[in-house]
Amino acid sequence: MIQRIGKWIRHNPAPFAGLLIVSALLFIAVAAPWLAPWDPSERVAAPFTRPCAEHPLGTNDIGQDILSEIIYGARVSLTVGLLAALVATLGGTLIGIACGYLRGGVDTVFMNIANTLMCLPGLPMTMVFVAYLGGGIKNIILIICLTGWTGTARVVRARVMSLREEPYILLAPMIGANPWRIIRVHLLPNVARIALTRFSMSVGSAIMMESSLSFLGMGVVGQKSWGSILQFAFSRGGLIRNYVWWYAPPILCISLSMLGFMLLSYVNKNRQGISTN
Amino acid sequence: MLNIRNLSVWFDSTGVTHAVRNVSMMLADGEKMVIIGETGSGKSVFLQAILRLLPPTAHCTGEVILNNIDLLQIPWSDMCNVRGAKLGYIPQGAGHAMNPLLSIGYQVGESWMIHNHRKRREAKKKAITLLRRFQLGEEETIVHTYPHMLSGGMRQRAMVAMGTAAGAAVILADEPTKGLDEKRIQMVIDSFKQLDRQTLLCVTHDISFAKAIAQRIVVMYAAIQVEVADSKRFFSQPLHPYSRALLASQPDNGFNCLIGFAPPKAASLIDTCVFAQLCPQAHKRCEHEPPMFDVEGRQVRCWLYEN
Repeated sequence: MIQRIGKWIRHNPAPFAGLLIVSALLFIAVAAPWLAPWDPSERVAAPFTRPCAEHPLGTNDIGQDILSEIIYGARVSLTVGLLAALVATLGGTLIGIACGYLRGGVDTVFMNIANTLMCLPGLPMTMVFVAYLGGGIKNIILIICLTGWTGTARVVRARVMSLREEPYILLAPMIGANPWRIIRVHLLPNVARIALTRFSMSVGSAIMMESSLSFLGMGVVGQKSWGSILQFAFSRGGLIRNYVWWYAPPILCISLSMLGFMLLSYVNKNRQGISTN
Repeated sequence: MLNIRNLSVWFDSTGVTHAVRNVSMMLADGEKMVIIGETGSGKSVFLQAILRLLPPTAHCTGEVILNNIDLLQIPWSDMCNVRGAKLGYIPQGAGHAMNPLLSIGYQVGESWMIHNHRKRREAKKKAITLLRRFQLGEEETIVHTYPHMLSGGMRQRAMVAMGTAAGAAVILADEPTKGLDEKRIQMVIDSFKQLDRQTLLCVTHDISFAKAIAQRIVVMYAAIQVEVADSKRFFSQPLHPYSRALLASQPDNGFNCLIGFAPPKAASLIDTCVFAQLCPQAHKRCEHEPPMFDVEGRQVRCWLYEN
């Protein structure tokens, strides 16, 4: 077992690095109440305290501990990233399979919607949705899903369109398999790797989207997230005064989480044996 | 019993192309019938028409009666209960006919699992029994392997096991020896001989394979039947000029390739004998399409046997 794990690490150094980063971030998010030295909503020191032993990343404009904010911020950023990516990837995969296999009206309707959504720039469109639906974690996830399924759907559809001409898919009805079974048993495993890759890439973009919205002041209200820490750092003069300890950590965290999920997505590309991607 | 009456298939993509014209045949229980003919004569399309798996550009008329039910009239969704359970199918090109991501055991047992509402684990056990029947060897190991890990002959025998898994009484096989060497062909012949109780309708252009397994032979040329005869009499004395040319073109008979051309476009020859252009015995009468003549229990579509 240990030998197999060792072999996997040797063959997949990048995904292993990604796995370490993602595991560390998830651990921080889950163990936030035990890891955070202070309550992030409490004023625990004088405003703009420089990094010191008691506050390793200093404090913000109202005296809240930035390290605790960053640790708690991981919860919102990762929850939004993972949930939004999961729903968007699942939805996109199912729509892609339905469009690619059934074709006809289903394909026309969904692909026209996808094309329209893909034509529009992502962030402004998301802002319009937020303006209509309001902020809040549920709405942010919903909005990221509404705009995030299109890429996955198109990639999966293209794969299914080539798969449906494969003899083993054409022959699947010969044994008495109905279309639902063909999709579930024969098509889904063939697109699973694409869906997994798309999922880990979507987590990164969803975290980025949430941070962008929070940075613009349209994100999750009342809860700390990396984007909202950045927003306060910029709006309350952190940048002008060059308080690196305030604005650099959330930028690093966002970049690191995106890098982690991106590296994790390489796992399928390095897989040995038959490739269906 | 499988009764096919006046089955016709034509394609409507770039002009009308007739793939099968008025083909009728009746298979008794347990009978082994082989359809022979050159590539493009409409054999595979005929099998697809029976299974109702033709592409959308195809049109089909006629009757396919299995156990007093016309398969061409029942709703398409009901065909899921017929395919596999009542009509087994062994496709051509076993190399591509299996899903590369599913194990041999799962694929062989899948049909049985679907029609008997069983679980995956039970299907694997069933697959071991089926594979043992067709003598693949080391069946317990093979059920866990994937298609690319088997040789062509083993895959083809696994396909035979797959086609018969759910206990279909009628088996349709489409060129089961395609791309196999002599030794593998013999293995496939052995596995077909295991199907002693099932009715078999097999399509092939491998004449020696047809000779080994057939009780009755149907010769197809340019979308129509030109001769129907029992196997022994057909191979000892073929009646239709095309049948004679087909057998003469075999290596065993001196490779005397009289035919040499692809079948003519059936649409343009609806009123004439389809083989007239190439027939060494063609005469004026052949400008009209002959009906099927009965010659001592054999049927031949040729004016030479008018009386």
